[in-house]
Amino acid sequence: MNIIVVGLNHRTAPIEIREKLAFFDKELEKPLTQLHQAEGILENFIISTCNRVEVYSVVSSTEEGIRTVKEFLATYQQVEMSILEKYLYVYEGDQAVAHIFRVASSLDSMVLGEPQILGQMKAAYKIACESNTTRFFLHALMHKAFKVAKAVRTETGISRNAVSVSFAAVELAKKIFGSLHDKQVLIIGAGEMGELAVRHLISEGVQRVLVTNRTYERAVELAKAFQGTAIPFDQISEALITIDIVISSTGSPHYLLKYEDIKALLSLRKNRPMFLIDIAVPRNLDPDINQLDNVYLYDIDDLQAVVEANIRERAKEAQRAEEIIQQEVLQFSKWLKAQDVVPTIKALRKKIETISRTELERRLPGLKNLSPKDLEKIQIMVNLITNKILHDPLVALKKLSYTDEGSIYIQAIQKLFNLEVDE
Amino acid sequence: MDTTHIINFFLFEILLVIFFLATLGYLSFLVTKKPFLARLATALTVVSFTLDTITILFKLTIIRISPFSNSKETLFLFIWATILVFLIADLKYHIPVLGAFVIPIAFMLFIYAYSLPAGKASLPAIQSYWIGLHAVVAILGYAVFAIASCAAVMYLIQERQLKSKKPGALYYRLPSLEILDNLSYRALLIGFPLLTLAIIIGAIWAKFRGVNPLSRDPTTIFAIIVWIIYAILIYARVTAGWRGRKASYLTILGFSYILITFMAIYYFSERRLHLF
Repeated sequence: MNIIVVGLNHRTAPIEIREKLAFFDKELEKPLTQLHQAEGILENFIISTCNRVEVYSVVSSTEEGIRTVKEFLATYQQVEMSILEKYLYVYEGDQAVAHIFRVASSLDSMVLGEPQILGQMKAAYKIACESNTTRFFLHALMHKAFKVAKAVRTETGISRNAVSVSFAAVELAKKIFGSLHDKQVLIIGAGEMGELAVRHLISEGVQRVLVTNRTYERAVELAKAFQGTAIPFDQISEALITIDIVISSTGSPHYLLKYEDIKALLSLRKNRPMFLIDIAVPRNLDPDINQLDNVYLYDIDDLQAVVEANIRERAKEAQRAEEIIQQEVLQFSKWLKAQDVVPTIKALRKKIETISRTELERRLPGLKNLSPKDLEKIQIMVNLITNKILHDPLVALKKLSYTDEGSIYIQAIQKLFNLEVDE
Repeated sequence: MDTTHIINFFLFEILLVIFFLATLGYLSFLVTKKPFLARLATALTVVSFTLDTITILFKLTIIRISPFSNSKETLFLFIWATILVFLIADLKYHIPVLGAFVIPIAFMLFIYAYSLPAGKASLPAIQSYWIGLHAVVAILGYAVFAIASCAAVMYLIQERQLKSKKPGALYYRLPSLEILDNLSYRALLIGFPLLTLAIIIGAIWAKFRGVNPLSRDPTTIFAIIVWIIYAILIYARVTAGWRGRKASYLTILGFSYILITFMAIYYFSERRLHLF
């Protein structure tokens, strides 16, 4: 029995191949059950996202199992084996477990630490459960993977710090203001990124949103979308006395706000801090504004630089995540070995055989009236008896070991026959 | 050495070790950001504080060394008060990273105090409860200022990070500007009345003893200068909305002045009625 992973992802395969291999969630049941019927596939699970297609299986024989899964992928998705082989990766045993943990923890994702993959994995797991292709080992493995992913998320900063410009802007606002609950935002002009940032700010609970635009009608329209208030363009300066955060994204060819404009406001504002976000190109806000005390001005490049720093920070955290995963793989592999039925079967067989052999060796020399042929017959007979006695429990044990109660039976046998099984 | 001194010695040694571990805990939290290290360090700090309290009480009641008998003992009391104020701030603000700034500095001061010559085992001139109260209130005030300036230093670092737009390692570890500014302002609002109270108690005591409080005692003048610096700061914060960078600089300036004067007084004056 072994756990294997066969798959490809955004690093190993181009989009043309990934889209050919992809399965739709709704149609997952068919391939799952089809693969499950193949010889030597005990349990199986398929995850298919835009960045990866992977099959996790519990197989009775590693080599055969890998071949079966590969052939299944090639025939089911109608891709030539020779082409497919170039992009596929294969992991088995501890490496397979580590890979599954890494995928769940988003260490294998294109954007390190992105949260979607865990949800996608849970959905795929649900389908596999419903299709009845997962049993004892995959249940245990996937539950463990979800736990590890959660631990990685809470114990490392891999998902902390924004990796998009609009989220980065919100995080900067929080680094300046702490809570955004009593803060007021002014949006100048309309733009996709600006709107995205405003939505994030609103979900952080900003108190009030003001919207302005060169054409007042457009401002009213936008204000509706954010449940904000539209103000005329020439009232910006007045509004700035109470505003905390400004997002500007107009097509204006010159600066809308200059150093002097903001400087004049500072004492009126009682020096309350101010965060200006300029996502327009050409820029709307005079870069010198950033030199004013308690005023922070970020343009699109600045935000991009923060995002890059955040990505580097996540990569650092990923190292700590790898450590956690290493430990968890070790633990899981220990547990797996304890679940393994083979050592128990071997031990049971060895014990019964040893008993019969020692008894034969002890008793046979005393039976002086028997011919050598008879002696041989007795030996054969004893062997047959031991084999027949062992046959049913061993077959049952093998079968039961793949069910949820498997470990209970294995432990019962170990206890009843007083077997010593090394892990 | 008699039994009490041996007990005192061991108390002190254990305190030293745990205090050191707390320092290590905070520093490794600063590096790794692992939350459990912060909890561990805070727990160790609580233990250190308890031991420190016992040590001071033990010295005062059994060995009869007053915390005001000399600079060494006063410095120990100041460190005790700083840890106390830090623990209160930590309880209120939940920013363990503050510990990474306060505790290592407190520990270094602790080592410095340890290196100073030992005081005589006798109660000094401060016999009145009034003057004891005066000193304790003043020390508490200075401890609050110490925390205020640690928060101010953190503010300046974070402000630098945000202005330069190049987030470094500390950007991710320090809390928001608002929290830091708020912490140092609140500390100021607590420290200032304490200092004022200490000065008033001192003045009343001096009046009863018939001494002119301003004569022949540099520490009184020194305390008044500290008082003026912080009075200006509070006035500027309330009326002109001074905050952030400028306020932080002034907070740090005030506390540096306290530290420098302490050292100066220690080196130039042997009469140790007054410390601060």
